[in-house]
Amino acid sequence: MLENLGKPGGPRIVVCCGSGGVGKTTVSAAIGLYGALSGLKTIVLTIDPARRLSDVLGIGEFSDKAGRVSLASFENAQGELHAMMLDAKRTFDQLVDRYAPGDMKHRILSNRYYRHLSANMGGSHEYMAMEKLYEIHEQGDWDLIVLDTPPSRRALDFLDAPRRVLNLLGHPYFMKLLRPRSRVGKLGGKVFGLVMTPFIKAVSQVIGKQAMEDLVGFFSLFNDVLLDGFQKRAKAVENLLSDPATAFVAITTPRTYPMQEARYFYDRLVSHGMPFHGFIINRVHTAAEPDGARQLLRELYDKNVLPREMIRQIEAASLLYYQLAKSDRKVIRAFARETDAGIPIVEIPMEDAEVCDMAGLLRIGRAVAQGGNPSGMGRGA
Amino acid sequence: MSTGVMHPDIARLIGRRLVLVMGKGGTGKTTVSLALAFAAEKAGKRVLLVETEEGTAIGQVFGKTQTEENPVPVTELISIARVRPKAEMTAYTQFHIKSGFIAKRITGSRLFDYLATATPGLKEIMTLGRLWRWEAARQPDGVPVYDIIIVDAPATGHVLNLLRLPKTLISMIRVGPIVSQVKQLDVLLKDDRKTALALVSLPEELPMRESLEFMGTARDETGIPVQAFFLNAVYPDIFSSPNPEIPYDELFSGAPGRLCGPVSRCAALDAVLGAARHHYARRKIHEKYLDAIRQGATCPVVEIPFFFTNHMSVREIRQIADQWAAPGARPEGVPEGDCDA
Repeated sequence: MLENLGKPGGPRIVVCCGSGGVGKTTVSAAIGLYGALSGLKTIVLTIDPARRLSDVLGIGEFSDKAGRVSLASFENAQGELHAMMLDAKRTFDQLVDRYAPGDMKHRILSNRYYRHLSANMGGSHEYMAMEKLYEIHEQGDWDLIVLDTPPSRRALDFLDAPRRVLNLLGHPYFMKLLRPRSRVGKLGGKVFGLVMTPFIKAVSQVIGKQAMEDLVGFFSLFNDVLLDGFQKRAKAVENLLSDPATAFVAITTPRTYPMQEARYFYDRLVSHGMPFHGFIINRVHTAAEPDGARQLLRELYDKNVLPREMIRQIEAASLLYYQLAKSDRKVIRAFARETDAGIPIVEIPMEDAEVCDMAGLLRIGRAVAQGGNPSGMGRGA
Repeated sequence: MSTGVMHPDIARLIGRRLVLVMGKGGTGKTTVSLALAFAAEKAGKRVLLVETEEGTAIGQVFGKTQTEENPVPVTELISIARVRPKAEMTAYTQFHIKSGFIAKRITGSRLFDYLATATPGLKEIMTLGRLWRWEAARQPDGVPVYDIIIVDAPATGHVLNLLRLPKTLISMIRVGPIVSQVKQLDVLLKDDRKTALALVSLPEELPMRESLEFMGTARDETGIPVQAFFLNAVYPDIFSSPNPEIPYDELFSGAPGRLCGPVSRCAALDAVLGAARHHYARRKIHEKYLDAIRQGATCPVVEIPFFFTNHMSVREIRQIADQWAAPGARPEGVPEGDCDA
């Protein structure tokens, strides 16, 4: 999978999708590291990284400025690795800043609905992740951009046409309903005069008049000032993502729920003609029970080379491991059977400890880039 | 109904009227909600187990394709139900808008969907309103219909909204019928004899960090402290022994070469030791997080053992509840070695 990384015609953007808790951020960083060591000038855009990971990368705290990761521990590293934390609210504010004329900026930024929506609303983080991706891409400085998406299905909302993304922000239906009545004129002292039709009156009764005015205020501003810019932007983001130089991968662990989510990402990406490059199954207990393991332990037990209590413990622990490995194998086989032929599935072994150094990251990066022969192991015969 | 031998922290929790089970996605909220329901049932309580949003996991556990909005009994004492904020909001609007025609127009419009999403806390307040109507439900003789309502709450982000809700919502909406409902609910939510928050986490870095932050926020910002912390999927402590002679670190950090002499198949032995070492290393990591949470938590910490399978069925979840009901028993999932058979 991603075997062309660093080669001419290889992916320039890798978008990692998946539910929370599957190690998405770590795998994203690993893909980035692999790219950098393949000679690419690489940036990883991430959300909510673990302290452990920022320690591994040696960049202290992640921030919304790109931080350069030292590759000094690798001999002759040709590329570069940078990492940046996504800050949805700030990205949103920057967009407003870009598209709103001076006197409107403040009005939007201080609107209560805007403040709430930009920081909390489901969908705004996801949209802003894509927005940031586009912005970084437009800088033109990078050979490879790896995006660690927010862990929700909304990460793919941009697929349903830019319009839908914009709907998160300003509902067109809403605008049609309210705007002719609300726009008294933005040159006047009062920007909005809310005309209390029976309908609006009724809605106000439910959510409160003040909230209604704020809401209308926000959408009117949004519509007048920002809509065009946002729309063009969303379209450009969509084009970028459907480009063949973009590669989507879905990350999961061998568990029912994240696998369902990975499948969801796959279905949705494929139905929109997005370039899907495969599944990464992280944290797989790979080792199967060797033949005669129990006999072997009995031999040790009889020969008294270790305290007998310890041999019992080793037996108990290894049996549990093999039980889990078997369970992993079973769910991965079922997953592979349901996966369309030709879609790579890569397995990354569960390690004893959490990844704590660059070597560990590189092992994962290699496993991703060099594994995943579509006809390889794990496929049901 | 006796809770005489019940795990004291669980007994306290299932003594509440409303338990909100929270945590990051994938931490095992549903498992804990179900286990609490089974434990409460064991204590003779009539339980209502509630799913939120579009969840169907609890229904599936009981062999249903989906969970209905009205409570349906699934065992002798447990009923399950689902809260859908939108349906609640529709009912609410229809109740408050006198004109049926306008109410219909509002609830049928896409604007309405939008308002439900965009107005902070509105969804949550609708969810809570429903929960409290169940709480208030009485049989003809005045006995509550449900002794306890256990809620498999939405992921933590939403839950913070729920906890901050009175503040945010009142500041956004300020006046009107919703505000008075919020104020009533706020009182009930903060009554810790009636309501409890239970937090579920995993022994991994990010969930742990988020959980500790959440506990602080819950206590300081909302005045609704977390009353139980469930650390889920903890590897059992197989490698502990009163015998100080056992060379764990030596065996698991070094090469197993010295054992190869006495046995014939070095590679196989290596593999078995590797599998055992994995358990040993995981348990060490989990102990680190256990220690951290025992120091950092301001509430009892309940450890739930890892089950060595990728699919938690009713069987495994009942084992958790059984373990709580009889805390002395040996946890299942830790097989006895058969070497000395």
